[in-house]
Amino acid sequence: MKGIEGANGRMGALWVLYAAVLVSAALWAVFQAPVAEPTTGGIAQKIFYFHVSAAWVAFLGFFIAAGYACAHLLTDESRPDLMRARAAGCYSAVEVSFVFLSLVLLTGPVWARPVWGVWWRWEPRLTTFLIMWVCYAAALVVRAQMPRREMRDRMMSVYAIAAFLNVPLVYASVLFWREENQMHPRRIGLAPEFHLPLWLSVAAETALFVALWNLRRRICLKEEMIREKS
Amino acid sequence: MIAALARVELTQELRRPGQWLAALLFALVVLLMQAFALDSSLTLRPDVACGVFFVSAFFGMTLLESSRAARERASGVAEAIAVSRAPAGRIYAGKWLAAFVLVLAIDLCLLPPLILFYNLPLNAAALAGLAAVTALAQAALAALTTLFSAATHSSSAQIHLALPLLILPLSLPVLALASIGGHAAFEGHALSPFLKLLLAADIVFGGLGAAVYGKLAGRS
Repeated sequence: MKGIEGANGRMGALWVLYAAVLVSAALWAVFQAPVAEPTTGGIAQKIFYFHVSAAWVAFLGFFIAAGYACAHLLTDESRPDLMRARAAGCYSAVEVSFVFLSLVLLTGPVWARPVWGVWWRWEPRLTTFLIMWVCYAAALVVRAQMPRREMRDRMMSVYAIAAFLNVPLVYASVLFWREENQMHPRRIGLAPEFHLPLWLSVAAETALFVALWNLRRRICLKEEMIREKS
Repeated sequence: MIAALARVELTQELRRPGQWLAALLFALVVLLMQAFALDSSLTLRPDVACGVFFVSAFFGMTLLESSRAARERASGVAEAIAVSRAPAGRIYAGKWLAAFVLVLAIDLCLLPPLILFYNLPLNAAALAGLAAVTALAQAALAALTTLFSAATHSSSAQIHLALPLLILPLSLPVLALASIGGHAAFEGHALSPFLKLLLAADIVFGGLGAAVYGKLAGRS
């Protein structure tokens, strides 16, 4: 067990290092990239690199959470360590993804204001993200109030699956809901000089997600151990 | 077994109709309150009526299901379900059916005040469309509510707080689809896209509920 923990610890440290290098490279590339046309936000357009990457990472995280949730619910109860590890994987993926989802919702208005002239528009993609944010926020708040570990883990797993299955439905519903045109482009058409900072940002935030997820997962497991001993 | 369980649940509600009546009154008050937020003209627009209707009915259902979950926790029903040998999927289906009937009854009672206060036209085809949308939407909402009311049994928070928090965000797409679908029925637009999506929601939430209800009810 200690051997596995040590290997996990070394892997976690490697991810932190990897994320630090990629984040530094992405920051350098973003600040080196040319300033966009004023119609696309000018200097504010640089937030696009963090915004798009955070959205990608949030989706990835919720997908991972749903996968761990399924695995947790299907795990044989005679293997409590495995169940605990999968439940921790699900919860920590939701928590870290939630941070990235919050970043999407914070960076969006900062970019929208100079481009669209308003902080917020009730257009499909924004509304979809807002509903997702509320869904996962509710799950985190309710989970924090559940004292029994087993039930808390089960609730989180079921909710992670339900919320992830809900995403296509949310998107379909807001397409009907909002008659205004979609302000977000369906495809991002970027000039070649913007490609490197975008892909570096995506890689950096993905690495940062994995590093944070690893750390949070290990903290979750330690918290459970301490709770059980006390 | 599913019908028998639903019958037992409904009989209990009929014996003590106080909770259902409270939920209906609550939904009615929400229906009237929303008029203040909409516009200040003397005759309210019928185009917002369906949204108002579904939101009001949903609040009523949330109150009713929270009360039922609290009663189950107090009377030990939750523990009985956890140790029962009956298949969890069937228990879920029975409870879902009871919740569905109870919320449809609330909907039915809300319809006359909705027509009256929101100036809905009395059009048979539109009302039939609204009935179809209502049935599919409430089936999905009842599926979600029944599933997560099992989770709230082990929450230290008040059930009245935990259940609405869990189900409200997940219900938003269904509520949105139902509201626009209902409005489309009165406008004479095609309903099939809404009905298909609502049916998809029924299958997703109903299927998920039947599959995992036992886990949330505390079974191993």
